[in-house]
Amino acid sequence: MGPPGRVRTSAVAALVIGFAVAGCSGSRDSGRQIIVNTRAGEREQLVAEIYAAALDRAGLDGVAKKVAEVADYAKQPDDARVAVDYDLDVLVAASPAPSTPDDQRLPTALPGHTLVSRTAIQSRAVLAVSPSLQRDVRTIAEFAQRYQNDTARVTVLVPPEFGVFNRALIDRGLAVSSQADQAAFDATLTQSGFTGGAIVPAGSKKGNLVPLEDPDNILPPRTLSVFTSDKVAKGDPEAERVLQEVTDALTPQVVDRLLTEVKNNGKRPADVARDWAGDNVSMSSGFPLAQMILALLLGGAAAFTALYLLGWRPATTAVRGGRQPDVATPDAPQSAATQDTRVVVGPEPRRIAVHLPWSTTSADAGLALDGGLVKGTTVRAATVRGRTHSFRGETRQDAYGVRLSSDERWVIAVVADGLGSARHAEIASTVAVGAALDGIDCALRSGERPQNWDWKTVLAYVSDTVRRTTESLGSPRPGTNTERAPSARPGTTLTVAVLPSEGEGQAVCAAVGDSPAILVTGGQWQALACGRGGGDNVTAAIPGDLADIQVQVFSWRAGDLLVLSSDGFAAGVAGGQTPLAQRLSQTWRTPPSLLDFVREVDFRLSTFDDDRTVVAIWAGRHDTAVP
Amino acid sequence: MSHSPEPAYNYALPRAFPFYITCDVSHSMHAPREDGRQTPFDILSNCVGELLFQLEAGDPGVSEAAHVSIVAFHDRADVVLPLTRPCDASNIPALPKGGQTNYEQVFLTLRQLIQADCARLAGQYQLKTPVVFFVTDGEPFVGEARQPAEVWLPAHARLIDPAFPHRPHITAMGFGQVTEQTLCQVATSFRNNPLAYVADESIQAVKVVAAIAQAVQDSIGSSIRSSDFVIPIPAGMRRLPCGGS
Repeated sequence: MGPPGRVRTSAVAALVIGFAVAGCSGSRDSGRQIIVNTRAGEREQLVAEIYAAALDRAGLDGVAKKVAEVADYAKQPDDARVAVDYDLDVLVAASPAPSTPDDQRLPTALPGHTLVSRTAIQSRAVLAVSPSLQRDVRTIAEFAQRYQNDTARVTVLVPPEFGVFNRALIDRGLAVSSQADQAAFDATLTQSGFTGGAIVPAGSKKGNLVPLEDPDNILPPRTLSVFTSDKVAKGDPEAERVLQEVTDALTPQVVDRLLTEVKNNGKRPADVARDWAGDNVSMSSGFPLAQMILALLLGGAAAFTALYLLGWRPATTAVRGGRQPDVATPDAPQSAATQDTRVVVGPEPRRIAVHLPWSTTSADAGLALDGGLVKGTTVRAATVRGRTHSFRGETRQDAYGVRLSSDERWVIAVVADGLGSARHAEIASTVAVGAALDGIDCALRSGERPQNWDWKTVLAYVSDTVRRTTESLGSPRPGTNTERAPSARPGTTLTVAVLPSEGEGQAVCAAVGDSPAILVTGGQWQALACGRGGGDNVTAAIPGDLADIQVQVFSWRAGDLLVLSSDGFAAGVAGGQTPLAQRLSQTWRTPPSLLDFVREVDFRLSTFDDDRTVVAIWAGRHDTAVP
Repeated sequence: MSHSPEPAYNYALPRAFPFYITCDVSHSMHAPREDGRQTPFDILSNCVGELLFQLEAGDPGVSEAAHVSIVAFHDRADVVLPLTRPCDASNIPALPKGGQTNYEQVFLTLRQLIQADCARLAGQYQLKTPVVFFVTDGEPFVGEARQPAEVWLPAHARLIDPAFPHRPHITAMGFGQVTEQTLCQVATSFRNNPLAYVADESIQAVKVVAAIAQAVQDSIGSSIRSSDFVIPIPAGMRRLPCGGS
């Protein structure tokens, strides 16, 4: 299930690509995926994440994955794989005969794998028993002797984590109840009237159960050990170096501290692991030039995207002390994978295949980015194709526009979000932006200040232009709106703002639909009454919904920041208290660099898959000395 | 453009839709057939893997928002797959084969599971109402006799207790020996429609299982896309009025 065949195919494909790169360039074959497997258990999974993050840090694309049982490690012998598991569990899986962890057979116990190292991380279990059974019994051996003929009354519950000890207990005549999962174990244990024993982690407390001593080592300590599949062991000295480096640095205290960060501070194991690896694992030597050349050769239009995903900015990296807590693993094809510097603001999205649309030009590129002075204001603008459209090979459907009015007294900004439920969404939004810039500039020539306008009339021009342009279009070109209702009329949201181009004064926003305008003053995010959401997958849009127009006049002062955005971005800042909003309150105090801006607009967060567009305007002239 | 379910400006947590696929794996599901052909259990085993594969391979919006758990029940209830996003499920253990059909255990387990899962997800995700797809081919039966409703109904009542903040929708889908009355007792109502479905008697059990799996997959995809619970009627099944019209 979870089709192992498919998983294997993709992993093998990754290897083939990786080796091909090495063959062409003479460089090492970064871009290979090495899977770090472990079984369930918070501690074990964190350790696996640490090894994966370390491999990532060294440019080797480590991915931590859970498996159900020891036998699963060897099921896909062709994979580049690291298995992290307890020595005793591996031995017992190899042979049902009772083993001790010191067994000489450990190096060859996992088929197709080689033992690389044994960590300092150990797991100890104890047998804890009901107080009524503990009288005159001090050790496990004594307990077994006392109750071995009493199997009807006394049972030892064993959770899956410690299944390896079943045998030792049964051999001593104890009745063992192997629990299917931790929940069942906990449920049985907490039933009223439970009498018996349970295998629990040393140092833990389960109800009123009393731990027994174990001088005979009936439940020996298990040591977390690291195995590599032959693919890694025989072909990858760099991976082995990294694994050894982690093993050397990983003490129980380190793991305890990191586990605390996960449990008490709500951090994700992958993030904690990445931070630790950033501080403790050396990066590989050599710049992956061959990889970049290959990306450029392969990528064409994707080259810029790859460059910003790669985020190769030595100066900035140095300033940050070589550690970037926001670094994430990219969605990009593995051929372009090193480090992704887009910000991560919660549970990360999965990796997806990204497909170019049927045809692409710079005019409808998946990413558009601008920045600079517009008279006395400073602008950053970006629009990014969302993950759903990237996955489906569809075009971006958001659009933005910024212009200085003909009389140079006003800055006009527009964001439009084409309705994905209808055809020609990308044309509707692009046409709306162009018509809005022209129409508003035309209206400004009347001399009437925008706060006094009848905005419905102004936007009616935009609405009519969108209708006229789109109604003459035929069928969508291939690769656009692949699953959309062919009968639905093309439409788009539209949010505009008109600001004084110099100094302070009255400004105005107007909107149809749910692309919000937000005023950020002194780090506080304040939603204006333009573009507030309609909810339930439904939004007002033009042409058609001019009755739903929202207009607000507001004061524009020195230090203010106006953010117009599509909901794909706005959902991430919500009421201004989200991690993203709080981060931007700092980083957007002044206009960031273009690349930093797009890294933040294109933040990574699970299920946030929509196109994202932001036009941000700072009062004041900032871009006067851009390096 | 896919518009957000709540007013866009008000939501900032990733969405999570918990789904619990709860399968009867009692003896009648896997008893070998005289003609040697596939049993409902065989079909179910394949469908569960295929379902996760399809969800994982689909739009990122669906595969990231769906959190799927698989629970198999017989004499007891086993959590075959703890709640996980399909994209994170690298290995799915095989469904176990069991003997009897203990409804009480499965409802007790579901309550514990859902409570623990939702408590874990609540801080990080915008949680939707959990959905239980309850697939069974037989009446509850434990020991030497049918498990009386008064034994399992209290466990069921705890699961859908109005005071339980994460009480799930329960979709009961039955074939074989299970009675309409039992399905109606298991199912909850959604917008005044009981979520109880029974197979037409003329349809082979293996076809019903395949249709149920398809309906579950469609339900997960549609529910996530529309941000509200959606369940199509599985092919070859009909909705039970359960006392209503």
